[in-house]
Amino acid sequence: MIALDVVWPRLIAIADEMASTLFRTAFSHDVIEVHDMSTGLYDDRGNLIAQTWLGATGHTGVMPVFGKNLVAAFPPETVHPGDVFICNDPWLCNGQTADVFVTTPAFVGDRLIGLSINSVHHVDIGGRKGSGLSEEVFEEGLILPPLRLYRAGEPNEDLFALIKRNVRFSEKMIGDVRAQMAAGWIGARGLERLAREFGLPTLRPVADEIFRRTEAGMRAGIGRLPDGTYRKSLAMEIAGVPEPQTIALTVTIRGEELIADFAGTAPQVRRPVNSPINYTRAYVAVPVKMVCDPEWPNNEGTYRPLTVRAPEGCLVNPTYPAACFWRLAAGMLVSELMFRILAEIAPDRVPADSGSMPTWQFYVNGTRRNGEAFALHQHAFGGMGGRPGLDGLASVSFPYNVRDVSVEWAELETPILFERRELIPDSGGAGRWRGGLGEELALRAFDDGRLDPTASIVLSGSAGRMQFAPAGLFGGRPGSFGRILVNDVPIAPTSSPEVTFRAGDVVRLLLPGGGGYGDPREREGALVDADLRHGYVTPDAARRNYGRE
Amino acid sequence: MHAYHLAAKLGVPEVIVPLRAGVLSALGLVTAPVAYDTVCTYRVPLVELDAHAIDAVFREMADDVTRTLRTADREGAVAFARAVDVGYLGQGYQVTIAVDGTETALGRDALRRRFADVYREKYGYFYDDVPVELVNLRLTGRLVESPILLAPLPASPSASASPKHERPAYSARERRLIPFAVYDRAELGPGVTIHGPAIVEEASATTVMDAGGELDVDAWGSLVIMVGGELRSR
Repeated sequence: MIALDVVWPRLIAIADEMASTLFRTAFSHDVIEVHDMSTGLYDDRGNLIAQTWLGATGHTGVMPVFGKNLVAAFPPETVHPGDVFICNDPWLCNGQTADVFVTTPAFVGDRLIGLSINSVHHVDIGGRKGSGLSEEVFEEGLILPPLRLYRAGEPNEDLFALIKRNVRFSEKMIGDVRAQMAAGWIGARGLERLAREFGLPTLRPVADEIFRRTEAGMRAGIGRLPDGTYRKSLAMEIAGVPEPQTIALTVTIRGEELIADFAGTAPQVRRPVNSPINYTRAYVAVPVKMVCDPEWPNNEGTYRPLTVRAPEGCLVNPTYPAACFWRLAAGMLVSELMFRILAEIAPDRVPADSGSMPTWQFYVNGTRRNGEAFALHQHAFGGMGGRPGLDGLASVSFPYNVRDVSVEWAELETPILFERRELIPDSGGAGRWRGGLGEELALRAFDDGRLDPTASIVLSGSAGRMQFAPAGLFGGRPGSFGRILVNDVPIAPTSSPEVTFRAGDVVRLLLPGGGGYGDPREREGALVDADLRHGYVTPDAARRNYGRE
Repeated sequence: MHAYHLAAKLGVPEVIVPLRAGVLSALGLVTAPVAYDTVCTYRVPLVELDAHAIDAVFREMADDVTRTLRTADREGAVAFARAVDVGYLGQGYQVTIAVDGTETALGRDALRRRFADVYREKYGYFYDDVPVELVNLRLTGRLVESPILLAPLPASPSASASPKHERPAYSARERRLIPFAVYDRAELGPGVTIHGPAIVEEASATTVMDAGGELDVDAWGSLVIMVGGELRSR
């Protein structure tokens, strides 16, 4: 099938073109700067065939299941040219109301051949502004079940009006929805042109061959791991919940399949850190993919050898209407657990604990004197764990795969001044291969004369590792704790911080460093010298950890 | 070698293959007219746009460009091409729209219409309910005369040429091997017309033209190929 070598990269290129279209037509920094999105092409059964290389991991890993959810809601016989669909239901989509999925069908003649789908994290979706205190999903904004945004080329004005009236910054939010429609249009036209050019009446044979090869690649990788059952758990700190809560994971490898079972995980909590199963599945898949099959592109076939089970109503499979806006607080720890288990199975391919799991994703919301709201949606990253043969990367979006908002953009759009953004010396766990350094952000709200002096400014989001530092591996030392300080006073450890402050106050976010890999006494002297030279390690710590006088 | 099929795929109707068009040829570089590109930030909402003022800025930019070209010791007439970057207020990127040198082309309605057309063609949709803004003015100044003038070749005595021989080659249109007439480029003087399928051989380059294409040799010996319409993808 020589044509496949032409068609497959072409499909991925179309998905990449969809992503560029999103960046070029979007209105919010979430899309333009952060790339908190994904794009993909599907066959008419809702199977993901191809995806952009640029997407965020949650979106990326959820797209395969979303396609099937969309087809279940709108079977092919109900879909017509010019239709556009929208959905953000956390249990059908990406586990969070702010992630909105837009679907554009592709036709050859009257026949539905496939779907062009993209997802975007929106700057607002209504509700409590991503509060860290939400107890139910109803507080987290508008929930859109699968609905028609356009019917045969005509906008569903009722729905647009409903959305507009329920979100802040509606011009940005609707603008980004329209960017999603543009990306959907590019994808659907690309699919149609490709089908015409290669004379394909259906994409199914091409799709099935792509799935077969990808699945075979994954299965071969899993097959090379020894059979067995491995069990680990970790604890997460949740403000408002008295005791740390456990995420427990049992991984069974049997031949060429892998089963991840979360039996024993704590029940869902009345805080927005629960991770709906779609999101949990995405973060189970990422470490398996990295370890077993880093080469083949991502698609439906990637997920076929994986089975994910989790008790209903637990932290990693909460039931409606659990709060889940900051589901990455639990969801990304799922990846950490997977890495810990894989470290036992494939120690030469897995890093120590990463301070970058979970990402600290947060909003800073406030009000100006004229009543106008402002919002910064920002990401901050801890350090990656030390790797077999390499130090961990400093302050990196691993394995989340997004970027942060540039300081320039943030300061232009909001009265938040970045007093400091720097790597934290000694935050990376000592080891033969040192953990990556975490970063510190110091934010000050400054009164530019337009700030409402009576309204407080709220920082809310996800955090972690404030009570349980990223662990070292094979003798490596742990990375630093995460910390949040308001005017130098630390807040209590939590996974969903909600900090209120005023103009002049300084909020410092200290992101955790990664754990070290291997015994620090085995670290090469030249590497310690370089760390001292760069200021990554202080002379004190060099003496203490590496015996350097 | 692949120019014909690449053009067909991209929907390009005409391909020109100059003499000595081998991969190491720098002829295009030295014969291209000297040009200078400028861009000037000019941010204004479309509803407040003053065509007269913008035209004045364009004229200033043209003066600057002319001065720059003169400092490169270049005389002769300068031709200008104007474009503007336009987007919805609040977007991170804009689309570039070519405008002619008149003040009318810079009017609010004219620009809005052009923006709507370009945006719809690129992205499938256009909206009337979002403010549009102008962000950049772009001007390219190009010397009309080429720095090196190539001498025309003597015309061919006949409009037809006879092939050296014929050999089978793959036709993308027919999706199979078919006979291609093979010509020696040295034999193709100005005025000659050839119909595809044909292969033109030259020491530095080989030109392939599929069935359906038609080739004229111009005054400078360049092969001007009209790509067969049925091959073009759109």
